[in-house]
This record gives sequence, structure tokens and C-alpha cells, in this order.
Amino acid sequence: MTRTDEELVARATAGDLDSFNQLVTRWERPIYALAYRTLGREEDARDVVQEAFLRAYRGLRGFKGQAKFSSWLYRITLNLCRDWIRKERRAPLIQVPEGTDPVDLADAKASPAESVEELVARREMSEAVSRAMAELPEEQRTAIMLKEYQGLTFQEIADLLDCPLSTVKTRLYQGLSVLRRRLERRQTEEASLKRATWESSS
Amino acid sequence: MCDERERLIGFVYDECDGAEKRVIQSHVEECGTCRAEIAGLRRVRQDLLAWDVPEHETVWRPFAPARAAAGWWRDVPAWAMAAAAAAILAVGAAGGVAGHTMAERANLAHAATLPVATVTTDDLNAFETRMINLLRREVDGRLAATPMRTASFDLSDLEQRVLNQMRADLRRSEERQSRRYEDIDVALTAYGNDIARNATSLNEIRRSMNAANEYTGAPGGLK
Repeated sequence: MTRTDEELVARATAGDLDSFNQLVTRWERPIYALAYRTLGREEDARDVVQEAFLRAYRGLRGFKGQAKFSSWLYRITLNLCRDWIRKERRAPLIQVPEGTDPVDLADAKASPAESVEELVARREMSEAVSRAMAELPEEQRTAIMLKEYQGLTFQEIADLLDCPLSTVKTRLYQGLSVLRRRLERRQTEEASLKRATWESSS
Repeated sequence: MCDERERLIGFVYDECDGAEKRVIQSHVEECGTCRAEIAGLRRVRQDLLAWDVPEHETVWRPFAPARAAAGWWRDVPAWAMAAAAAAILAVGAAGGVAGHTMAERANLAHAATLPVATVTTDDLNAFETRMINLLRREVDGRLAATPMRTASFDLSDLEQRVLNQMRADLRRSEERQSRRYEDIDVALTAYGNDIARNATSLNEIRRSMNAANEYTGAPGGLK
């Protein structure tokens, strides 16, 4: 039987370590994704995730269920990421994932239906998105990450970030508009580059 | 609507109520600018899906249910340590009512300094009996000296209150120790995770060194 987060939290608070382990198993992947996309570096994300769960464990007694466990965990993670960035005195870093070389990509192909060209295009887009996201103001970036990648509702984001619902919508709209302009510009530039390459070779 | 583009966000994410949805739908049918805006927002959302997260191994070493023995205090039952402390506290508090002789205070001080690691259930029972007898003697003496107050004084009530106090102190002490154990667990887990990460880094260094050795033809390799 699968227990809800609330049940596992109650059991973990009463000292059942296995329940806490189950919560970690359930939430490690999304928390890691949030930390990785915020910090841009795998080692940093790993450290933050570990610290986030340790803090959550230490703070279980203080967690009264006023928010969802996952929201509480996201908040801890975002605070840690913010501290991390402040401590390192740097902007979020863009890490180009390994395997950008087409040969490596061919080996690492996730889906047999995807051609190497498609895989290369996807990787390039992934990099372009991460760059464009890193250039956004932190508030817009956080709102987009919580909405697009963590799947939170507007209200959950507003509660988590402690701001009005309308502010969440404004941040999302402004952030998406900036991203849209940047990504469209990139696609236009790529198209002209391909055209120029094709014309010079023919 | 064209001046309030933020309203389109609720529509794009399908997070607006039915009335709002109908208003936007009927507006979009007539407004090409907002229609293009919605299409652009949907396109950028599609692009965002390309940003994937690298596969990673778990960074969490699960808490082990069984605690490793560490330190002599783990061999002493929590209730025993707490009871010893509670007994001393309770008698000390009752002393305000009953009073003590200097010699008996010396006995108490001696009891307080007993090494808790050797306290057994029998020791505690004997200690408790001794304390109650001591109290009884003191109270009897006081009552004999001040007969006017005997009418309203109930010794069994005092005993009960002392025992209640002991139980409450015992419970609080167990809770405190339980929290302490959890802190130790957390610290041990953090330490274990650090070791696991260091081991992973070390293995990566080994692999790199071995690869370099193979490439340069240098003899031997790191194991």
C-alpha cells in the first residue's frame, strides 16, 4: 500500500526512519532537478539536495502540515540554492552536458526512434534553453521552473514564494515572453546560418 | 484583453475558471494579436521541454534503522538515567517542605555522584525506597513538632506528587534523549554521505589516472 506524504511525515516524525527514506526516494528526483536547473552544476545540485533532506529531517517536528510536504521541501531547496549562489558570488552556471559530440550522442541515444540529428538538435535546444533561463531575473526563472518543471499550480507557487497570485502570473508571462524572443532569435540566426552554408556549398 | 496580457497565462496553462475561459476564447477568435501571443507562449513552453536533467545516482544514503553502538551511555537505559535524575530532583524539591539534615544532604550528594553507567533497576528501587523513608521520617518529625498543621497534611498525597513529578521528568528526559539520538543519526548520515561522495571522486580519479597511464604507456596503474 502506498502511503501519502502526510502519513509518511507523521510516521517519520514519530521516529520511523524508513518512512523518511521513502519520502526521500519519492522526492529526490524532482528536488535534484530543481537544484540542478537553479545552480547549473551537478556537484552543487548533489550537495544542495543532500543538505535539503537533512534540513527537512531535522525540521520535521516543526513541520505542522500547513503546506504540502513537497512545497515545504521546494522552499527549503530554493533557500539553499539562493544561499549557495550568494556564497559562491556567481550567477547560475551553464553546464554543457557530456555527450555533445555527435559520436557520443549516438552512443547515448535514449530513444531508438530518435535519429542522431534529432538528438543533436534536442541537446542544442536544451543548452539554448538553459542559457536563456540563466539570463532571466531570479524571480521569473523560479516561477517558470516551479510551473513548467515541477508542475505546481499558480496558487501553490504563490504560497511557496509568499507573493500574490497575480504576481506569479506576471512573472510567468514576462519570463516566458523574454524566453520566447530569445529562442526565436536563436532559431532565426540558425536558419540564416544554414542557408548561408548551403548557398556557399552549392 | 490586449492591454492585460497576463490574463492569457491562465488560459495557456488551463488554470482559469470557466467564465474567464469563455471571455478569452471569444476575444481570441476576433483578435489576431492575442491569438499569435497564445501560440507563441505555447511554442516556448514546448521548447522548454528540451531542457533535460542529466541522469544521476541517488545522493542519499538511507537512514539505517539499527543504530551503531557508540559510547557507554548507549548501554544505560534512558529511563534509568532519567529516573536517577528525576529522583534527585524530586527529593530536592520535597526537601523544601520536609527539610534535611546536613548529614542526609551529604548522602544525597553522594547518590547524585554515583556513576550512572552502573545504575540497575534494583539500585533505583532501593534508592527510591530510601528516599521515601527519608521523607517519611522527616515529615513525621516535622508533624510531631507542629501538631497544628497535621490535620490538613496527607503524606500519601505528597508521595503521589513526588512520583508524578518523577514520571513527568522521566518522560521529558526520554524525549530529550530521543531528539539527541536523532541529531546524532543525522550527523552520522551526513558523514557517511560525505565518505560515499569522496569514494566516488576517488574512483573517478583512479579511472582517469589509469586511462592516462594506458594512453601514455606508463607502467602500472592505480588500484
